[in-house]
Amino acid sequence: MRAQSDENTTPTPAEETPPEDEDAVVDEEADAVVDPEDEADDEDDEDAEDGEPEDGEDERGPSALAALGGRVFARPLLAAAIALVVVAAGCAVYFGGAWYTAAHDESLRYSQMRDSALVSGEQAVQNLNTLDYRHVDQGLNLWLQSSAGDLRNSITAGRKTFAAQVQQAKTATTAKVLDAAITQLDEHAGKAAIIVALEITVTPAKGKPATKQSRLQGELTRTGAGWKLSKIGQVAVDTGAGGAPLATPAPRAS
Amino acid sequence: MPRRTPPATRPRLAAPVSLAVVAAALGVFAIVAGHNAAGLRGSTAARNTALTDTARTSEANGQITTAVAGLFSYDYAHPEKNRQATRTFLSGNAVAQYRKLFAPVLEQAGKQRLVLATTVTESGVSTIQGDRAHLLVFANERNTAVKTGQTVFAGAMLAVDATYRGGKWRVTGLDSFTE
Repeated sequence: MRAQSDENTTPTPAEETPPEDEDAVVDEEADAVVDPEDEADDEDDEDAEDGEPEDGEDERGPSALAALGGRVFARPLLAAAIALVVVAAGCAVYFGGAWYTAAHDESLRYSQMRDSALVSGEQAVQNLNTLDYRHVDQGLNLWLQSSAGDLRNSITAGRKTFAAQVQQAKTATTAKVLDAAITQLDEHAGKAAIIVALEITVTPAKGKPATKQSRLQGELTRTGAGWKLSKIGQVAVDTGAGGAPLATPAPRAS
Repeated sequence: MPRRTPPATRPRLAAPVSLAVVAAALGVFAIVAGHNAAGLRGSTAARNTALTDTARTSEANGQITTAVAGLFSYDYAHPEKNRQATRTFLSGNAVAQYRKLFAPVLEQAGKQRLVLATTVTESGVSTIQGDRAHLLVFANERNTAVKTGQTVFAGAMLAVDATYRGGKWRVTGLDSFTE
């Protein structure tokens, strides 16, 4: 009985499994199963099947030769595939971890909060300094949308009077943010402090538009609909109006 | 009898192919995750450490506050103090920008015997990226002409670019929003 020699040459059930079979190791072990009917053919087949017999391995017998023939083909591929999976899994873990930590990074979240507070604050300050007597209602609605808390309450309270004044004066006011900075940010309280350098242009019914600069200080409150202005005011100067250019000597009476 | 050889090759390929598919899926995930992580870390918000790095923010704030106060204060009797401030705090473009801004003061200083005192009332660091920072500064000026005894107050606002060099923040850009 040369049962060993049957390896690899006998079509066993395992070898005939469809390509979905993922486990190559199982295949090789299954090869050892002997099909007695094919025994007689085996000796003849050996040389034909091991197209490239490895001479040095001869003493291990024809079965080893046959297995090697299979391995030379299958093992490097399999080894490469396993190595590829290991490397890919390593990369996936590494970058997945980096993604996770970045997404849960506190200072990163704080940075994003600071930036969204700044953007909302700039927009709110601009909105609250923009009003056209031809669209007062629209403008004041925008004021309400941009504000929260005390500021919103006072806008609501003074709305009618203010609208009447603007319509009577027939002025159109526009504003441009020159620069701004968040000076404080309290994540837990949902509050932020902002300073804004603003340029305001008032166009009267008749006459030329007048431009002035304004130094503003405000408080932002985080609401369900984003950051809103809850306080806003001009930064006072000891005397005189704000926004005078720094290096110009103050006018002197001679 | 070659009939027995072909069936062996197909199942042997199945495992490597399946593994390659798994590897490809993992690879795709790694690329997406890496891209997202880099997107978060490399975003403008993330690179800006203003307020998130409290120590560095207050360092920049404090030093630039001192710089602005020193640069825009002038005593006709002790002009060297102002000159010392310009040497200490100014760098790059700010040198010419400051000269232009401050020229009118210097012009009047001797004649009017000016004493200009500037105090920073509010300041905010909007960005710090590495060794560069941007600040918005509000200041109060008290300008006294000793000759006439008159004092005038004014408010000012100033956008400042700052650069960190040799352990100090220096003013490298000045904008008073006057143009």
